[in-house]
Amino acid sequence: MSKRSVSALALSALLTASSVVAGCSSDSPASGNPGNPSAEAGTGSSTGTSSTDKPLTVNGWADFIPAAGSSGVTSYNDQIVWKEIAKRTNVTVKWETTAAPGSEDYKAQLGLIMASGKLPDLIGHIDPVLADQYGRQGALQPLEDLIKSNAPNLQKLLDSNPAVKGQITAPDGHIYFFPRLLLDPRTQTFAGFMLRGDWLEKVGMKAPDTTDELYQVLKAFKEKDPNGNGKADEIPFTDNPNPIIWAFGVGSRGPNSTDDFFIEDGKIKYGPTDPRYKDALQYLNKLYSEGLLDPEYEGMKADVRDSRVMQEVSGFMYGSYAGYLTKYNKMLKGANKNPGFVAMVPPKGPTGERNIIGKHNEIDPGRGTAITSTTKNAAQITKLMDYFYSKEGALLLYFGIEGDTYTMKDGVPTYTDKVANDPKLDVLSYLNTYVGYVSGWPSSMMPEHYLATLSDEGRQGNALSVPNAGKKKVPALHFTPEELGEVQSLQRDINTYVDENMNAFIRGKKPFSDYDAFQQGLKKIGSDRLTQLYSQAYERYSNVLKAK
Amino acid sequence: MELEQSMSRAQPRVNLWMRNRLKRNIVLYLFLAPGALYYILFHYAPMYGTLIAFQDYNPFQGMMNSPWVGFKHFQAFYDSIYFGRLIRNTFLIGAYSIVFGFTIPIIFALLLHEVKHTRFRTVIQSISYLPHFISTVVVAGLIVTFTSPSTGFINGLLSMFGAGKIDFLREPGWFRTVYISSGVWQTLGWSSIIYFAALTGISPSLYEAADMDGASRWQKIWHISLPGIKPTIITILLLDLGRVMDVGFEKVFLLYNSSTYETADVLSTYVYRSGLVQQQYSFASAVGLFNSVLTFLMIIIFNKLARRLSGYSLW
Repeated sequence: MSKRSVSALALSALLTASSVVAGCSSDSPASGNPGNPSAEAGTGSSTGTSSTDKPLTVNGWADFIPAAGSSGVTSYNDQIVWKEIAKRTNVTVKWETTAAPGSEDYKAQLGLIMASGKLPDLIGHIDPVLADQYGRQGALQPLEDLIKSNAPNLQKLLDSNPAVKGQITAPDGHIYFFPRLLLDPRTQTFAGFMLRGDWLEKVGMKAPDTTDELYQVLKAFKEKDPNGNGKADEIPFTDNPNPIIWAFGVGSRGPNSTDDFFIEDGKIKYGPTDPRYKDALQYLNKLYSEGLLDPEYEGMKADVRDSRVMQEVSGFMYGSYAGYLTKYNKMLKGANKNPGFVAMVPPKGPTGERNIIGKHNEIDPGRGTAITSTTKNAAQITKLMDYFYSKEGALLLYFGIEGDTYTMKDGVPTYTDKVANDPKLDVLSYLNTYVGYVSGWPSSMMPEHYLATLSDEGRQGNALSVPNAGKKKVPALHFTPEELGEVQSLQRDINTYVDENMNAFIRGKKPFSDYDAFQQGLKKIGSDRLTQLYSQAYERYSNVLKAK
Repeated sequence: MELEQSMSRAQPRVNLWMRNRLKRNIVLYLFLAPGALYYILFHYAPMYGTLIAFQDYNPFQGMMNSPWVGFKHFQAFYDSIYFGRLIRNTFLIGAYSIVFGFTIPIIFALLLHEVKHTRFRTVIQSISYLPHFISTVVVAGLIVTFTSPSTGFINGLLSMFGAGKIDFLREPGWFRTVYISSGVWQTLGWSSIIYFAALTGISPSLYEAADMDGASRWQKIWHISLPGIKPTIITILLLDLGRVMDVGFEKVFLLYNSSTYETADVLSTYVYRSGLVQQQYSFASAVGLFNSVLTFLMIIIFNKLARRLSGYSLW
């Protein structure tokens, strides 16, 4: 670590430290005061169209995340959603936002605000770990009772989806944030396998259904020159091969660091110590040694991946429907090449199951909204939040204003031309700029919205993946501070060790005769203890589910 | 008693003397002030923050309330199976960077100093500065592109000459070479500026005298140019040695991957990865402090050595 970053860290520590002392005293007296009497008066009107009779203004704080390519909108105050919601609920939220988005800035600024003792009423975009921590200290309002008495829509969702409750309940048993929910399976699934459909036709094969068939197809891609340039230059499998390990029924860490763990038979298990993990590595080693897997897969940068696609040497990969499938077909089309990528069903592994672990959980972790303990308007704010969980509220957030940004067609909301065909912005960017930050607020995401942001191939892929995705995905777990400390210190060495060995086996740098030594090494640095800690947290989660 | 009296009498005189001196050099002190203030504010004052290395620091509780844990984080770092590897990698990358990054600019400056064609010399000098202005991210991007086994031009050249392809960024044996040679390329011109300046400061009469005595070019370099820039060399060397364990995070992070951890994983990248789940302030500070102590010891030792061997030193 460089000296400069040490001193920067130290300086920020100093700032936080000196002001926390001042802040602590102001947290405690207010924490026992969940809403003043006037809040109770509004409870009677449960229609959700009006949270309070008198207009009320509350202060909110969050980071502002501008959409790519947008300009002119600098705060949530300028967006349709928050203007309209003020009209409908009589509650106006005045947003203060951070200048620069970024999780470290967010944490640092939130720390300063908490320390200053002058808390806003609402805090947006908080993640479960932060919410747990501030909640434990009494800076955030516990929400269970508030939800029960003021949030009928959310309460209904919680009752019918116990998994949600398990994932928003802190280890101390309280709920500290309103979650953004992804309840429809279509909105949870965002990625899958894709391959060049036109190449399949050229080599005269059908879409692979198992990992063995996948191997045959990749081999044919490599040998039969499907790109037709007369050279065997195809490198069929581009990018990170971790998702193939999932097909063998076990977890493996992709972009998300918890995906080494998976759920099976009601228990949490650790992928790298599972016997099936070895089969998966042997399979990948076969692909690698026969030149079917890109030798540069490790640490592949987006521009390298793009060039593989554009040179038409790439035939198969795993990725998101928006960022990969849709984008690559668009790029290929733009270069007058065949936009041949099609989504495919996740292949069956040797155990006969189709398994994709990459999936969103029922809650969107970085997008919670919390109420601070110093606010005098907890009940009204709860009602305001609950409005987003209602049908009208969700329509407002995800589609905007009827007649302006959307119209109803056969009962399905559809974006108007203005949104769908903006010359500069795609649907999502348009919404994020002018309507509201769609993916930023408590609500249950509308599948109609998500599907409207995908291309045709993307929707196809989504439909193929939905039945197979995320069955073994670990829910969002809450660790106690002690557990978290231990998990972190164990993962420091373990993750490095697993990464290093996994790639060494795949790339043939280590013979499989060393596999037992790898397993022993893993045990020695505490993989069992790590699994145990995860099990504890998972058990707590299960208990919340059972408790009802 | 007498001593005390004389002391008390001496006191005002010293103060007076100091005040006079202060008054006389007030402008110089004012010049010094911003720099001193900068160091006090941003380098000395925050130092007490390193105390969090001995705590289980929690930003919400602050330093006053975070529990003290002694050497727990140092112990945890020492217990890591990667402790030895991290120290070795950090030290070797730093040491090789100094060996090559320090000597090559001197040689370059001496060679260019011998070029008598002024125009040619300026052009070369300007070109050699240019890479300094490219950001690390871009340099790393260039390296990735150039060394790619499938599309990079370096492997294209290699295969043209019938040599096998080398995946420079995925072979642990190549990492340091790639890292350091690109570093030298990037800093060569810039680091040599100071030597040029020192060389220009050498009195031409010395060279003229040497010419009269019939000294060869080589002898002039050895007996005039080199001794002329010796103080500069020593100072730069000592400053460089202070940074031996301070391997930049950015470039390693952009170039390494799990295949090259064996030679490329350094303290800063390890700490970065360990913080992925959540910032581990205390552990990061412990590693940082450990590193600083190591560096501090190294500077003291080398400064002593330099003073004994050459008579020049930082203090």
